[in-house]
Amino acid sequence: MARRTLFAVGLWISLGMVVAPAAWAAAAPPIDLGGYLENRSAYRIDDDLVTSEFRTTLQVELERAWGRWTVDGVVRARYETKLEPETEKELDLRELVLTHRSRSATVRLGRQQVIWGKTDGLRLLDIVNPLDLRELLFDDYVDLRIPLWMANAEWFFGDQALQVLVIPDLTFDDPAEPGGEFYIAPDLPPAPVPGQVPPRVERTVEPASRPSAWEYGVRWSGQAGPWELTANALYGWADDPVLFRRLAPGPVVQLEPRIPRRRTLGLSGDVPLGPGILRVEATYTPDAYRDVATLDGLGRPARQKLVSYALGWDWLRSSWLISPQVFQELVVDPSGDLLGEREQRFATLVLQRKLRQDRLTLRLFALHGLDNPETWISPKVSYQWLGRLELSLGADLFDGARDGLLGRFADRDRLVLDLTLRF
Amino acid sequence: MRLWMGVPEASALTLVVISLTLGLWAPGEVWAAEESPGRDLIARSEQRTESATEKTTYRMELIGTDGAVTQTRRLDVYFKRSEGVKRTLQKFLSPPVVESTGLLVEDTGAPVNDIWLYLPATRRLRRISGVEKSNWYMGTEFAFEDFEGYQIPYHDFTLVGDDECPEGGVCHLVEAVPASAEERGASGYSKKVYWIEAESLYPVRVDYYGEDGHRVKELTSGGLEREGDYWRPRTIEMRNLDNHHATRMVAEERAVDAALDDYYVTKRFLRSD
Repeated sequence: MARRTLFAVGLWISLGMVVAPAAWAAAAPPIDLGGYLENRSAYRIDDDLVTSEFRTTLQVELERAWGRWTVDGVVRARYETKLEPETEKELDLRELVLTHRSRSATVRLGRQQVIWGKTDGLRLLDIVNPLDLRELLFDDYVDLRIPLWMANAEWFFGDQALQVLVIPDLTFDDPAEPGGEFYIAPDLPPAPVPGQVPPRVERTVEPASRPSAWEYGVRWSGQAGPWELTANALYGWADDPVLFRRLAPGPVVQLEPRIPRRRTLGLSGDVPLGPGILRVEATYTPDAYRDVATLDGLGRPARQKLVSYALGWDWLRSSWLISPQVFQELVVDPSGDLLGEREQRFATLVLQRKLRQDRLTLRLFALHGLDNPETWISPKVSYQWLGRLELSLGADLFDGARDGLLGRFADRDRLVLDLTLRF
Repeated sequence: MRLWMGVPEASALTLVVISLTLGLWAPGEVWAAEESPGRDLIARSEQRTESATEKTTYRMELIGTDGAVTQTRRLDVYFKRSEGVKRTLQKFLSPPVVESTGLLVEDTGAPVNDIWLYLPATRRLRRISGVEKSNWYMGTEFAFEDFEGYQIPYHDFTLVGDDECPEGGVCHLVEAVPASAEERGASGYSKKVYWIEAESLYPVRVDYYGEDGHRVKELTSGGLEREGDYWRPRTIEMRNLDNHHATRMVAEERAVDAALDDYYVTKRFLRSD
């Protein structure tokens, strides 16, 4: 997808929303304008409070409605100087959606986010949009998701609804760059003769956008007794490349990163349980790739069946929210001798308290790996003034083995200061 | 004294306190068993005040301990009754920190209602347990259960006497005590006292008592005015007698029994930013 062209088209439509002919504008309802200006800075705790992130964001949100039609646009300008070796200067038409609502259907065309699933912190079904991983998962998902151009239609039948997605925009996760604060190096196989020729990484092979390569999704949602349920299916692509490898003359290990197709089936639901709400979510994909052992010692990625599930429980009590969750991911009937773990389990906990008429929020999010003990703890205090200004001070604290997903950032503990003006 | 004033039937259905304007409504069935002056008065008050549809735009003021307004909000409240279910949807219009935040309550007549909260920051609908209806709502002095109607089947009502209404006139005082174990477990109140204004049968004041028996909150409705077949207050104020905060709601626009598409009381509308 020619993103520059799409951006230009989108920008013109956005401008058209604002600078409409006077007579037409006079007859149309006014534009609803909103957004925010934010400065976010982070400081390494173990390194004399060296600045590790300094980001300024201006996001402008526009909405204009004509009867059953609505156009929404979100433009984001961002300037960040510390998170990665290169300064990030972004001007992005994040979202541009034309929506038509009728009595029985909603059709949304354009660049947008689609949010599936019910889990917090870790994603199982929330897989429609890829992620900007330059800050890994240590930001709000609304900011981390990369919106996609798509057609999104939902039909409503009483308490039930059927959603269909057609996604021609093949955009994948945007990982942190080498040298970035949260860069994760790929697990490369050893060279055939240690100390000699390092593996050679070819260019990533990404699919071209044509109808046979587009992503397609469908979701049913409805109620069954006290349960609210969804059944989801996505015929998509993996969000990041798989490193296929072969031995080339030299000898040298040649790595060929390719984005494979991925089919995902899922279920989610919630139901009152005791004084709270039980949330469940499960996914199955027959197209997950995991490295398995080979005779030449290089290993190779092999397609595996992967089952994941999560259980969570939300308990609101007075000004408190208490929300524990557990996650498990399991390779079913492994194909080959897995080089990594067959299963991974995580637990999360959210503790939140709102005070002073909701102006003061105290929040603690903790994520703990149960198999390879590692932890991310994120306490945060935030305060609002005048209904539009918010100041928050938080921390990201990591612990665990150096080869773990979180433990590798044990020397990157940081304080995060965020000042946001909403308008 | 004859209190029944013969309001139009189907169009003038019920009800209550703030639910008049904000809220959730008690089951629509007419209570017939166990006749008592208190229950009879409450049933007639309910019948006199509930419309079929309603949309109101409010200015909401959060008031601190010093009496100063700490935040002013605007919100739309939609109410519709259809197929035995009463749905109320609240959507905040301003200020920016709460814009598009919304709440949907579906009252099927059970003591515990289904509640959904939409937060634009996460773009997610979060279901809230109706069992925890005593929780505070959005930093206001209202709890979710304060938006409910009289919940007649689940309370015992006793007429305890008359007194002068806050804005003058005679009020009949009716004490409501949870009668079912489920209501006792879910409610944060051990008792409520409704001040029913004699002419309009509108509950112009409600005193709320905590589990330890002391008065914790006081709701007053002021500026009663006719809206078609119904009486509606212009202002509603909930005072928290423990923390000395208050929340005032001022009706700016109101449409009673006007055409209201089902869409405005659905999760679909709730999650439309």
